[in-house]
Amino acid sequence: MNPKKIAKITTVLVKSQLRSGRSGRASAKFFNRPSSILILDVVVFVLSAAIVSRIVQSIPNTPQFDLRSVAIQALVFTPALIPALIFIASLLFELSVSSKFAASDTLNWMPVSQAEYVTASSLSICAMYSFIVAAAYGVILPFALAQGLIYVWALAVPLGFLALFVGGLLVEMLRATLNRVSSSMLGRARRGTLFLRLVVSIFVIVVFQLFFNPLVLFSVLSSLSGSVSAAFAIPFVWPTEVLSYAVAGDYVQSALFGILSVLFAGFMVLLAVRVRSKFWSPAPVTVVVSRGEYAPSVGRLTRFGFTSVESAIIRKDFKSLSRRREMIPFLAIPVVFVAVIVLPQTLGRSGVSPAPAGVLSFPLLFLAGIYALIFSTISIGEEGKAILTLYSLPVQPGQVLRAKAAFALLFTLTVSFVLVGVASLLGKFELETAVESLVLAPALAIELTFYGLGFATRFPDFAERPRPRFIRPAGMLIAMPTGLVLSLITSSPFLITVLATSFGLELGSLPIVLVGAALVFAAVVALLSYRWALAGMKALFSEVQV
Amino acid sequence: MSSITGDAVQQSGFNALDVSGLVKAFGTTKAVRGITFNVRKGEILGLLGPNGSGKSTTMKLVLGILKPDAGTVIVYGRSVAEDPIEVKNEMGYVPETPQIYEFLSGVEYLDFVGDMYSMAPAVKKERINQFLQALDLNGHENEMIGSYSQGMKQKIAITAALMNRPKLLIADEVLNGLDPRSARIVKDLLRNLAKEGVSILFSTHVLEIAEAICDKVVIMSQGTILAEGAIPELKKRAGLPGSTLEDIFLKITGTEDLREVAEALSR
Repeated sequence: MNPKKIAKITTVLVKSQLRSGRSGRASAKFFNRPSSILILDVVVFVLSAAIVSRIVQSIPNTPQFDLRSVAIQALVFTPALIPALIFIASLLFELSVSSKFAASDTLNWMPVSQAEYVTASSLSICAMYSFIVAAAYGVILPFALAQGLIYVWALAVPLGFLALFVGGLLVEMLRATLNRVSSSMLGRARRGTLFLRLVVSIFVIVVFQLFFNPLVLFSVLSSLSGSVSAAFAIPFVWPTEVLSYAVAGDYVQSALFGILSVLFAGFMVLLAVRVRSKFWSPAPVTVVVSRGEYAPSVGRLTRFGFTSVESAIIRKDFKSLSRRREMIPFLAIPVVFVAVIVLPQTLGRSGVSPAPAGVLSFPLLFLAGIYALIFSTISIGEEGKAILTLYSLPVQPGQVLRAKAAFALLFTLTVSFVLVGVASLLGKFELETAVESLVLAPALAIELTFYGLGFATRFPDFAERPRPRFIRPAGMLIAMPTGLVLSLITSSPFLITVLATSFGLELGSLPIVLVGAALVFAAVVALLSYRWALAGMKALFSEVQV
Repeated sequence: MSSITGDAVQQSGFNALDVSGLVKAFGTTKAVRGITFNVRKGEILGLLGPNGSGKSTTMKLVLGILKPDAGTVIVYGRSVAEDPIEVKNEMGYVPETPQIYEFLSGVEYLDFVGDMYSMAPAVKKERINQFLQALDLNGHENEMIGSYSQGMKQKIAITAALMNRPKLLIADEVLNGLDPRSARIVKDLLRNLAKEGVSILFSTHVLEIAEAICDKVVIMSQGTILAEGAIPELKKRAGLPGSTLEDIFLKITGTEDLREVAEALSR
């Protein structure tokens, strides 16, 4: 391995991720430089440390709220959570490599070894997500300082970055495996094979997520072994063991797990290189989607009030979602949500009573909303440069928006019903809770779909690069936190009901009033968002963006 | 941008396309600097110029997918700025690089485009089959466009532009990537379309092609028009009656002394 080559490739990959959307503005120029990541990390670290420091100073240390215990928990468990976090983030932003680039990526024909590419690619992922580690350890620092655990914090930081690197390697392995699924199935394939590829790809993503998620592994092993000592058998938790033993003053054990953690990272590099060498076969593929004679589409959607233009766009978007490799993660996300949240709950842990219904359903309701937001924010940018087709044809911006909204709603509403349905069944909800969930989930999905469309029209990223992102980072950075706030507001009646039930409080008819208010709120946000999106779409179509 | 006036409509009565005082800048770069030209019904106008001369920008301005900073574009009496949808119904566009949905098959893409023009299913079917056969795409029409060669993608883009029988065709480097047989078919097709009254705004780097099929050429450089007229007329004006269009082009664009450059490159 040539370190200089690795550094160069890493820089190029980071630049490819950073340089999206419009340039020319001062902020864009700043974010075009890889060094901006370091500056951003420092700012995130300092800000989070400063904010939490003020909070820590104001918290009284009582038996009910043991600050030392909080500090230790945060220090010890953060490295174990980082790979899972990176993995979830990668579903959205890293696995969307288009087939075109998988086959013609410059690095495929340059003198670059698999090991160099895998290491560089993992490092570039580390760079892009380093702000998560910076924020986490910025938050933990004031707790550690207040409790005299700064030496553990100093040990935890490199372990956090090691975990980040391992997360990056996991993403690389998944990327190569998905590539093999695609190329082995699409030699000269038919439409049925496309569907099979979709199903197998989602299966691979879910298996990876379950197999490499420490929380899931911990639940499974705990349920099997009946004790928490199962952690010893999970390499992802070894950094946690390093810190646990350091806190306990057992430095020999701590050093032993430290060595094991580094060896495991090395093993993961070898494994990732092996997986890529074995599975990376960017062979061009020919897919025949039909064998029969051409029969013109008749536009059945026109029966539901759509124009022929709108129904053609909806049909086209459906094909885009089911046929493009870069869209597969967006279909896998709801399945991963269910698997990661539901599986540990249904397995249960030894000696731990099952979680109350609300604990299971609230995150799913919330995630259904966030999913609607994510799905709709990418709905314009996913057109890519082919948006030029729509620009050059006699299509009204309003028609494009209605088609995009209808398609996104069809999908996000289905996902929200399925997620809440699964939660209701597995969580054995009371009727009132189930009805509340089934009313609020679609309301939230509609609200956030329209809200997301507003951002999709104003921040689309049509650039076709090795890892397309469909929405400019600025758009996602604003849409996500504000969307989270909207989600919390709309689902607050449910949250209040769940909390009140947990504390044994009687609310009377208040939940009905709260649900009504939430529905009105969701309707108002959806309407305003639609108008905002329509204005955005008109502005977008006033001048070509590619 | 000024709106269409009664006089302008009157003046454009004989023209398929009237471009007047068109200006477009991208930041500090002035791509098009106040150009004026027209295309008559059934005429093929070749837009020529070196790389970066503003040809593609001009074509996008004519199509209405770029907003001019100043000037007007009138297509068959309609302002592109005021009636973009109506005007697009009358136009076909072949972009410099085919930007098409690669997850659709060739025939699905054409079906999609037909729906955008609200074409009747029977008409769609007839035209699509006609073009697939003429452009040797039969047998590949059900394959996803992602696996097509550059030339096949170009043929799909050409079919998409022509399937609604446009009155004005805007073709940006339309022969890019085509094999000699297909290029010949497309050249003949353009001539036939012109005979049938379709007006064509056509850009190319290949001057022999322009010389062979264009009725008139506009030579652009740095966003301005250096020369405009029928090729024999330009030869006469340039004082090069027995020369080729390439000689005129190189003389007008000031790049005629290329021997030294070639020698320097080969050293």
